[in-house]
Amino acid sequence: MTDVDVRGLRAGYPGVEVLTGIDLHVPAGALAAVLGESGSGKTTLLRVLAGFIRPTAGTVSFGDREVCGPGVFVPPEKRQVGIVPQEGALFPHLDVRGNIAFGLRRGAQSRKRVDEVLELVGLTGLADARPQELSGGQQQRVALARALAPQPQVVLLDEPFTALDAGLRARLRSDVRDVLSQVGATAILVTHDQEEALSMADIVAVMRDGRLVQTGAPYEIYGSPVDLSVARFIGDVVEMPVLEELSDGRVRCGLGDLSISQTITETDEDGSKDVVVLRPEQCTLSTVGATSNGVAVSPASTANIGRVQATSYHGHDAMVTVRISDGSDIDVRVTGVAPPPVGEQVAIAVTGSARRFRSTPPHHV
Amino acid sequence: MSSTDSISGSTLATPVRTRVPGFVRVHDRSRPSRVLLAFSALTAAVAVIPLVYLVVRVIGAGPDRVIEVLWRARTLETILTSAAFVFVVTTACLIIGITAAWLITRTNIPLRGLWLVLLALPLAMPSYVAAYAWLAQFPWMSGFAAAALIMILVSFPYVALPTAAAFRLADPGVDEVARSLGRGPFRAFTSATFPQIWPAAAAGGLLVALYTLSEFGVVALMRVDTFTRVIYASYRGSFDRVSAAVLALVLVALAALLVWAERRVRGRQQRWRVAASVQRDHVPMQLRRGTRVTAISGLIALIVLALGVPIVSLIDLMLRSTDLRFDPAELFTATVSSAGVSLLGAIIAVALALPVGILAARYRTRSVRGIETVSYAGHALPGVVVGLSLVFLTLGVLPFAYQTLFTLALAYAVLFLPKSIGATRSATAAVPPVLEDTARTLGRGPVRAWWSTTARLTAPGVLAGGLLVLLTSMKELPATLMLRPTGLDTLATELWSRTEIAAYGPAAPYALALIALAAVPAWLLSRAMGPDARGRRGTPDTVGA
Repeated sequence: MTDVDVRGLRAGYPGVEVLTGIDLHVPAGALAAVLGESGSGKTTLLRVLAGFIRPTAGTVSFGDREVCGPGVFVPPEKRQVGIVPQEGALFPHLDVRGNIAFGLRRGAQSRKRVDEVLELVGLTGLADARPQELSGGQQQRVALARALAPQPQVVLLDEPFTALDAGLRARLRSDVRDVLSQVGATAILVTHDQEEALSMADIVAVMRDGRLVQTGAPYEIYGSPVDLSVARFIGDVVEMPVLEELSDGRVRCGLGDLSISQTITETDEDGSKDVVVLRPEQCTLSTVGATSNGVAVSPASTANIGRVQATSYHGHDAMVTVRISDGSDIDVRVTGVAPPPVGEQVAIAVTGSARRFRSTPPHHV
Repeated sequence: MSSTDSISGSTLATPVRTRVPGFVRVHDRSRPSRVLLAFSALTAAVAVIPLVYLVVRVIGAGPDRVIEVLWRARTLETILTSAAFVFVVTTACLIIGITAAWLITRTNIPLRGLWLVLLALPLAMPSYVAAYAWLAQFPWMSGFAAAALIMILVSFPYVALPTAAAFRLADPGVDEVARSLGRGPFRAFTSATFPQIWPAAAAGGLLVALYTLSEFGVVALMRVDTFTRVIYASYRGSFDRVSAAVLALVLVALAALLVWAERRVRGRQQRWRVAASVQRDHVPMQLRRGTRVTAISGLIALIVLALGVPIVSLIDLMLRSTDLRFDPAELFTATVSSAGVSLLGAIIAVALALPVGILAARYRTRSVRGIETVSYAGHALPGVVVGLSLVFLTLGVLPFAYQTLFTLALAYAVLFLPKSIGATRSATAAVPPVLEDTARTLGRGPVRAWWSTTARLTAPGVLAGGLLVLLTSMKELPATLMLRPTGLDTLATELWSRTEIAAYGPAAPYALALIALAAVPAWLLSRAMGPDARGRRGTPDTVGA
């Protein structure tokens, strides 16, 4: 079992520094997701770990073996990393067996190992297929099998599910997660899909502008984002300006008086933002007045009255846009029931406390 | 739950800047390997040896000598003759090519697919074979007009094919919009459609100009004193090295100008192509009966002149020459020696092209672009110039290499290196670098990773490039005449020596053999330039001629 340790890593191309100081520790056997928008540098980080890019500063260690650092640079073929590229990148001139055996020494052992990993990824019997004959999901499974066959210390996955359709993606995600935990490999997954990161990873590292802005367990990132951008990036938000500061530490906003669990002060160019943020699922809607099932609901004292502006229905849940008393629109997630019709008056109740983000211009800090 | 809605407009959306501008693919190895660069630099050096040596000789002759040669009335005459020859042939090819392309793509001419094939076929007719076939029937043919006629008949497809492709790709919507904005059919064509096809036609026209400027066989047979013939004559006759070298440099300068212009036009054409998105069939223009008959007659006449006359002439010669002595063994020997020395040339070309093609496909740094450009020198070096330069070089510096197989093969390699580099480059560019990267993580060093992935996948393309060099070398005339070892006869030189003494009948088998050889590159070229060339897998300089 090997942990991955990255310290003070800087890398880039002539004239452009892409990674501006990365520190990351992934415990042995864990799956870490590096989450960022395209252009944030996450693929560059992956390529540095694989050994395709020589960093300009910093160290990378797999277990107690330093693979790059001052005066040390282990080439990709000596690093024992498995890589699962975007869209698989299977060798088109080799069949499935040839692809998987590529990293193995030739011999009887190799044949056995290929069958083993094929079974592991659930493709028993497809050894003689050509890559062109496989579906997208099968190709990704072969790519994973090829990466795992030589029993690497570290497995790197570069947006491996992006090209697949939604249903297949969910299935493959959980299968890949199972396989990785079964073999006990330390894995780093690069993705721009926050749902993928949250659902698969033990650790999520949010990357922005070539640095990691927050690293932690998925629920920490979702529940306690370090800044407003991370909050917005990691999920849907209900964002309301602070109207009034109350004496008991609560604040007044468009949804009434809310208790604040945490106040985060950011440095920002314009420095004027002061908002409270909820997750949509912290709000619940109830209908005001008579409803179709004949039960009249009176608004709770903490609730606020709003009017439904729009709904978007997703099957398992629906997002309801409600115009609240301060005239702004907020999104509320409702589950399991038919969304209220547009124009309906609804009462909004808030559970839990809100998070407050204020920004100050840089020179005030 | 949707993840993208919530982040639009968020500050996480930083400007994309991971990709270094100019990187062809996301290939993050910032610097190409030194070994590859060194080998590529060697290739570039070999490619410019002929040019450099000519420059050295001309400088060595001193400015007075050079100015004296340049000021001769004969030189000015040569320049004017060449310019007029190139101008007449190119203009005629543009007019014929664009008209024919329009007729077969945009009007209600019957059998449009057949015409397209017929218009591509003249590419398989080596120009001096056509000249010989005409001469054999009409021995009085000679001079400027006759030479221009032959050149036009063999070269117009270089304009017609890409133009027909452009007509098909051109967005018919643009034409319709122009009509709806009040232009008549003719003005709609000139203001909306013509600008869309002109870059393709112009690039084809510049290729015609380049080939016409470099043409040796036709002008020699028809006795027109353009650069190539004058250079060859002054080398053969007086062995006047300085004037031959000076004239050769002037010729190279003109050719380089044409290559440069062609590149520029083609670059622009590719930018324009991006706009063509939706493929929609054009509503063919309904020609009136009389116009249609005229148009069809014109096309028939064109095909008869370009293909019918030479082919009938060759068949006639073959039939009549049964009583003449024809030695199959001699034809066989010539084919074998042609193939042997050309194969050596092709092997050298592929070996030289590999590092340059790989680098050019993967990296776009300044040094790589410089090396690639220099390696394409052969494109602007007419055969007569490379021949002359290597004669001087071997006689002056390496006498043991004078008129050896190796020197001739090297000349072929330098001349046709662009074809090989182009083929290697496009084959390599089609293979995602991630395959090689993945092979590295699976434990192979850089060379073995390349060998087990990219090399396997590019082999067909690279070998096709080599085959192209082989076939084109077998047709090459002037460099072969100047550099061949004594006693080595190739198909081209056998045809040449028989034609020179007006032994037209015995030359016919060699002419037919040359047409057969030219058919393969012509077929590839028409596929690369032709109307179905949506993806542009090759460009004219990677294949034909």
